[in-house]
Amino acid sequence: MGPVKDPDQEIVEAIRAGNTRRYAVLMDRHKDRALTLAVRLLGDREEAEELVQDGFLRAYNNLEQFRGDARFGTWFYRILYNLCMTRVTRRSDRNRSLDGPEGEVTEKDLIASDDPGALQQIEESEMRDLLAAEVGRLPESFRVAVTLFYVQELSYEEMAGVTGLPLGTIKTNLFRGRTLLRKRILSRLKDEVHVS
Amino acid sequence: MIARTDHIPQDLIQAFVDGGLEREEEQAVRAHLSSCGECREACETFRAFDDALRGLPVEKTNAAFTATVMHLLGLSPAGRRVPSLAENMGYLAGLLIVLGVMVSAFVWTGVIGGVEAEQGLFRGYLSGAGDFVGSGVEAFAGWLTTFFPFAFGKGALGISFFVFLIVALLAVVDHLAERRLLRKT
Repeated sequence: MGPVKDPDQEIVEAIRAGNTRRYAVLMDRHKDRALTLAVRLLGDREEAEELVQDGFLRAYNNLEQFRGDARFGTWFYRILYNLCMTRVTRRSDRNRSLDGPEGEVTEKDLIASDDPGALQQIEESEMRDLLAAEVGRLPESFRVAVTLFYVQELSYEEMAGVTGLPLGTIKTNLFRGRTLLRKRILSRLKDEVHVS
Repeated sequence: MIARTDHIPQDLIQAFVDGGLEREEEQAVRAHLSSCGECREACETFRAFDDALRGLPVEKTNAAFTATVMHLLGLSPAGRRVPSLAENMGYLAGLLIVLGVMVSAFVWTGVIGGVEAEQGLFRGYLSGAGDFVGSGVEAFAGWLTTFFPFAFGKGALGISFFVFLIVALLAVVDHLAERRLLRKT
């Protein structure tokens, strides 16, 4: 991956040059989206905020190791992602299910919807509410892909850099995540029509 | 190449919407979309779904988040905070002053230093409390004499040990309290 134009690079240079208080600007740029990623991974806001805080502390203390090959955001999200996954792994070691809210996913769920046009009939606010609920129920790998792509606005390559997964796996997870979201939303709409 | 009679597979439409196609593939999809209303409609649906996903609410950190992290890094606008040890020395000085005043008061009122206790109810209670504290201190001193014989001597080493013990204890309490308070902000 070649050098990437990074809007944060100037601030990183300023911090390295001794203007350390500009780290607050970097945090303000990334903290909310970082928290969104952590909440999606952990499902617990308080725990997520604690890890985002730890992530920023680690990033600052290791800033010398940031070479600028990737954007600062990508580098930071990798630190945060690793912290979150370590916590998730610890939980699974304590026999807590990772698949808690996700529900079971079958191959049939991952086949593209035959009627995507029905989604256009949903009101914008209703769609937002449905999506917010359904993203939280996606299997972890799909949830990570959808969040990194739409909230962190990372490219496929950057997502691979953050998660350490192959590019093909990232694309597949993102596609399957979206397919599953569409199907679940359509299914909920059908249920609502049946009930009413 | 996409045949004119076929419809574009959904994964290809999605890749087109994501901007993830190679130049040739992208041109082929564009060409097909210009002549196929059904695929165009599907493409619009995917775009709308994408827009909805981009519009998902973002979590907000608490108002003090940045200030808290800057504080923990020692980068607060107010400058590096006073080291905990210096603060604790202040607390220790305050504690010693209070103890000094109390001891002076006891000596002056005769609770400590030769005056009989039967000089009134208040002094009786005070004397009782003094005995209670005294026996506690005596027990602690006994424990120290057993396990740290050097600490109970009257020399500089013994005094230094007590001062170090108190400062270390205050530092631990202060550290724990600070971490807890900062987490709550």
